[in-house]
Amino acid sequence: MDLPHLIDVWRDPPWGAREAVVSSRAFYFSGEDHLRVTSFGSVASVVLSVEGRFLTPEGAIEVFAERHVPNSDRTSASTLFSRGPGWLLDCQVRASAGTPRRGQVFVLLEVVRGLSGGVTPHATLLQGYVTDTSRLAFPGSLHEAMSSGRGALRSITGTNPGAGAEVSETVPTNARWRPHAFQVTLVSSSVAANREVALVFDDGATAMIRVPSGVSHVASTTLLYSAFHHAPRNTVAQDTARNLPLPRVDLQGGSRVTTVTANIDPLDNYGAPQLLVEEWTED
Amino acid sequence: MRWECLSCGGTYEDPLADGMRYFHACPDLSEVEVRRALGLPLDGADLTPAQLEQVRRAPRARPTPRDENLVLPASSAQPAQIRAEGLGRRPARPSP
Repeated sequence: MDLPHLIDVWRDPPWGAREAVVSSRAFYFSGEDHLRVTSFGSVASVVLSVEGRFLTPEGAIEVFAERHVPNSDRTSASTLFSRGPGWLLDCQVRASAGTPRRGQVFVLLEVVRGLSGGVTPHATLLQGYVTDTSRLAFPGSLHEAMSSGRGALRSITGTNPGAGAEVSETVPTNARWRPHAFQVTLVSSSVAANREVALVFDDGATAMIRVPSGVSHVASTTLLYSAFHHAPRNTVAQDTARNLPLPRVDLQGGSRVTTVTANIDPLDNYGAPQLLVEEWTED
Repeated sequence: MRWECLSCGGTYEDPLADGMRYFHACPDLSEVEVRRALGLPLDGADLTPAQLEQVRRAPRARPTPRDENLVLPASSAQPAQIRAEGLGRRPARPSP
């Protein structure tokens, strides 16, 4: 019998024995080997399905479907599945509930030994992002790194700081951000002084990039500071928006995007910043 | 839900409109907050050169900051904790 792509099984072959010849791409499980799915999720209400086909030593092909729920705070969640002896013919992982986008749920499917206590991984079957419309498949899918390819585009409303305080947005733990745009409004008080806003990128403590606006922000004025790639500086006062060039930079968890405002007054008030970032999961 | 941070007075949504969690972290002290912490005049025009230097050299870290970003546990069986509780948070009053 000629089965497609993975396995050829001969029952009652001419020499009389009952045996199976399995494709080299099938993965033998000794009975001590198990499947472990580990996920890093950043979005709620996602359920992953691990589905596949398994050839038993008796020659029967069994289908299986297991369920795994990722965390929504980018921490890892793991589930072990026991299959018994036989050959894993093929399997896939997909989001069967929720609508994660690429960059939001990273999955690792491994062959391990041990079900509790010391669990030792021995082989990696799948590694990459899954969504509700694209899946990872064994065999076939490439093993991809967490930061490879496109990330999830997110529009994030940050913290609205108290009066006299600066804006500060921190890249969450286990995330990588590539900022594409940043916008914030500053309302200056009536106290006379020329403020100057700068956008600063730091690693959580030490500044790496400082982008001064080059604009004197006078008293009793509302200005919108808008930073994006290749932004041209304002050459004349164009309404109340002031452009800043945004550097192309990737930021790891704990890094910050902040404002630093010269001559800031206790009653100056920033609004909540709006960020457009491309985000990856990164452990 | 909208929250108010009791360490810095900032307000923020968690979870965000797209359903994802937001991890607030307090900003460092602004220039005027440093002046207030040092007991100096708040208007920069009233500062002497020595006081300006004092402000420039002062640490910017906020006392008892809140940082909701997670500290990963040694084992995945343990729950992740937020980095710093600070003075806590409470539901923000609706805007007038």
